[in-house]
Amino acid sequence: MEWLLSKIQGEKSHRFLLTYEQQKKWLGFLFSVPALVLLFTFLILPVGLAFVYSFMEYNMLNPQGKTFTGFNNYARLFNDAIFFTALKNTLYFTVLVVPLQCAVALGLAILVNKKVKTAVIGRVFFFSPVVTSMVVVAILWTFLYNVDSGLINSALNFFGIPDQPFLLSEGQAMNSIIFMSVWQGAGFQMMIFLAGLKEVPETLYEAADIDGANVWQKFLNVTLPSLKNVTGFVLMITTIQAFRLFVQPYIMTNGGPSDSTKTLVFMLYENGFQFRDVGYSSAIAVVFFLVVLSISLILKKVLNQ
Amino acid sequence: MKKLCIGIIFLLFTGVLFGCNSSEEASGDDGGEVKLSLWYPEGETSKAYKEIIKEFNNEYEGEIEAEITFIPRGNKYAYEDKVSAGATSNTLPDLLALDGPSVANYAHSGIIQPIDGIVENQDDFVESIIQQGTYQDQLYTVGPTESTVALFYNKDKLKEAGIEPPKAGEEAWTWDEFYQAAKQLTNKEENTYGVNWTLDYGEWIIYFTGPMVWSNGGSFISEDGTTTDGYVNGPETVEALKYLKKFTEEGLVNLQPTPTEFEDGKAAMMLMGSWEWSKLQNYPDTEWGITYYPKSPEGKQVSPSGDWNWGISTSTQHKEEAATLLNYMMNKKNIVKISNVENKPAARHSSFEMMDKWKEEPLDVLKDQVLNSAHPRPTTPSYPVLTTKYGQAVQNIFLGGDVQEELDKVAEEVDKDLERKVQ
Amino acid sequence: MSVSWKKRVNKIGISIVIVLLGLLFISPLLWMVVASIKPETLIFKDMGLQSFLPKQATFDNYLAILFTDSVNFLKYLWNSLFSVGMIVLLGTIVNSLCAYALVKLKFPGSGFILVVIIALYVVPFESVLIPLYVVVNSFGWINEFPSLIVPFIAEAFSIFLFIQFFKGIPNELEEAAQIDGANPLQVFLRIVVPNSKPVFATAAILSFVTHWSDFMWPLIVATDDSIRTVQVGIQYLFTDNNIEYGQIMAALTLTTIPVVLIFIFFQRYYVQGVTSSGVKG
Repeated sequence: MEWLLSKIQGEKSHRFLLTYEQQKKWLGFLFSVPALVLLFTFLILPVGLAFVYSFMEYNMLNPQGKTFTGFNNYARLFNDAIFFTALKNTLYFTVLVVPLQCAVALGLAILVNKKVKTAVIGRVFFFSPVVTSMVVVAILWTFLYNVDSGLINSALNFFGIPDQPFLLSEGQAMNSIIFMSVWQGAGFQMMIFLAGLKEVPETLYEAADIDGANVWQKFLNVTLPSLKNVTGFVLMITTIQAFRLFVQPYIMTNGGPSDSTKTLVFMLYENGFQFRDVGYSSAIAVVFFLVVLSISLILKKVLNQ
Repeated sequence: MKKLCIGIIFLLFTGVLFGCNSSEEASGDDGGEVKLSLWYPEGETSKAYKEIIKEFNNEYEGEIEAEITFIPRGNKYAYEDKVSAGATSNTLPDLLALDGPSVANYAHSGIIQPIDGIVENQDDFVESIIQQGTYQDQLYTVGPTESTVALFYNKDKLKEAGIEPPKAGEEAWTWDEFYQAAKQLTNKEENTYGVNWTLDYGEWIIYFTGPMVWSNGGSFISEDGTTTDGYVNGPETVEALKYLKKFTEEGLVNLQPTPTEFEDGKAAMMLMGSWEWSKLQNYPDTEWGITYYPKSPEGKQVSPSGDWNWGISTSTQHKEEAATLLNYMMNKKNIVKISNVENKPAARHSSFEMMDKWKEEPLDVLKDQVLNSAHPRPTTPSYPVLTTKYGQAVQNIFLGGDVQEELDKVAEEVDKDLERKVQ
Repeated sequence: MSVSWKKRVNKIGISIVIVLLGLLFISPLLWMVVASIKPETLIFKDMGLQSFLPKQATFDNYLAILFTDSVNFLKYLWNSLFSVGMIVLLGTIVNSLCAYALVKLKFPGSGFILVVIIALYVVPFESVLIPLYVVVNSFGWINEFPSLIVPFIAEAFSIFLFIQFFKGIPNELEEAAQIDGANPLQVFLRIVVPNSKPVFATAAILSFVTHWSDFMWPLIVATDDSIRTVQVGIQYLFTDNNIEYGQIMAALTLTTIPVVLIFIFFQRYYVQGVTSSGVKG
């Protein structure tokens, strides 16, 4: 295939005598067209539709009856106390989960990047929560967090700490979800860090060895600077993923107790699919989109410096 | 690497072939036959429906051909999401199944049409089925089976404690008797509970707590359906939930039970749906009993009702044939067939007569409740908001929230939704 | 002597840490497998550590899901493998080419497109579900394979991922190839791809995992039994009333195996990048 393509390209370039710079422009455009067309049709277009719906009263069961209602849905949203609770919960989750999950992922990636025979086993095991069905993970963690028969409370009792309510308490439910999410999702970021570590030239470590650097110094002076790009990327995607938190509270706490684990996407789902209020749900989506986008752009600026 | 590529390409080709084959089969030739489509949530009952549709197609060969699609339920709202998508793209089937409380919402959205005068032998249906299918004085749906919630109990445990459960509807335990029994049966040292109830996040909460409210003279929504303020947060409802809260506060019920707590002997009684009986048959080493849903001190005994039922969509081109099929599925013989799959109470009196097991202990209790104390859930287009918000409020109440405060919030949210829908 | 001895102790220490931590991570998977071979009535009887040791083993759960007349589990498994395989295969090509064009070929407008792509990654899928259904329905793809595949080929996340790593490939490498008379496509195939195996593996694995667990979308566009995916297929086990947890665990175990195999297969490509040696050489 490569041979065929290069022949066609080669002949073309010969015939028209395009310079490499000109080829870059044309082929650059050509290479990105498939992705861009697909993204436009299946993402930008639906996003545009959602934007239009956000100005409508639209009952999902009665699409023929949708009507424009101006900024009604937005006015409703900014008068909805649950929206601000959900925003606060989402921010709280993000601020805590991002640094924790990234640190754990980096640690795991460094471990399984070592040249030991168990490294492959480690990769498979650490990644396994990512591939395990969320249903199983949620059932199991609900039992682990159980007030009087849960494994975690048994462990705490062993150290003389009394039973904790975890998912049943307004104060602890979100923290419990954060802990579980770090454990469940770290494997995902680990794989990206691992790909990054593979690109760190070994010669740098050899040089550090000659300078007599210890493990910690090598981490600070070689690993971290080499992973700058990757770390920035991982921080960014983890932030965006964190904002989309939905499945864990949906299965484990149903947004409770007292809305303490209700997130923006939870609210979006509840209004869109349970209450079938497409208009309102779209308005939430638009606001969500603007919030997350501005935060990611700020993050990008900060990381680039 | 090359081998891998060849392998993948091979796989893709076979896949394309697979795909083509199946789509060709679907578009068969029709010779003047009317085609009807049906949607039903996938489950145990699917098999019975498959058979019934097959027999129907044989009987009406050359005239009508029906095809039933089973939609997975999975996620709590998956079936409804599929219906919504069908409505969005105008691809709804001729006949569709829907859960009891959705009737008002679907009728209000104009998805299903009235079927007054179409149903054969309508008087033979139990009253609760007709109530469930009625919205604004018009009948929209009928269903083959009913459901109810009763108090299941572990015979040994009650005998040990010297507790005699009631045998007749008039003798059903009052709230206080039920509470005393639960208290006596709770053993904190052994970590066993007096009663078990599931804290499922879906439809279950309003379904199983409803009778407490109704028996106490309360309700969820005003008679004319315009407001919930003073109803879902009215004094009778508040009292009912305060009563239930006592159980969780005093540890008579486990807030985080395992799915089989009652079966494993870690709870003496269980407030559960009628379907539980067939599951209990997997545990033959214990003797199980069923008794009536407890009643409030002054009120009468009430039980919840409702099950999946059938409506004719507004988009059908063949209403007459759809009615023929509906009546065929709902004849007394087929209802018995469907009822037998999961031991669901039948929705026709005549079908009940055909099955002996419902005349004996303990299933007679369930039958008695269906015939004499069944109460449908509220019919309102705002039902999705009501059941979700009420469910969340009850969750909070059981975890220590203030009853009045939580229910006030429900009334506020539902009324806002009602205002938008009932203009 | 003492240095290599120290190294060996070090290695053993690291191995022990990996295995212990690994056990902690794999426990839910293990629990799932163990639960799948337990009789239904024993699954929730003990929920402590002892629940990881089955007192009684049975394959009834597997037999029940593999040999029901109404459910063609293997067919669903194949449908999933096919559609997700297509997404991964086509997606990797389309997304990596796009990323390469945006980073290395910098044509007019590429900077703007980059920002748009980051913005698109922000969009939660739940918010475009209904509009996307409207779009796909207008193509007439409902209950056809394209509905499961085509909308997910181009992915903002994958493009974003490729961009990050392509950025790090030194320009000297490309320039060298360019002097040899290679065109941009040849540079991509001969320089960029061989130097980025770990990224391709990562993109493939992450894309596979994401779409393998998709449920909402396939449910809505693929009701027909002939193209139903496995995640939708196993939902018949989650009925209203009598949930058979043993069968659910067996079905989930069977659905997890392909992902683990794919993972093990792709993780072989996590070899040291050649970049460094290339630069030196």
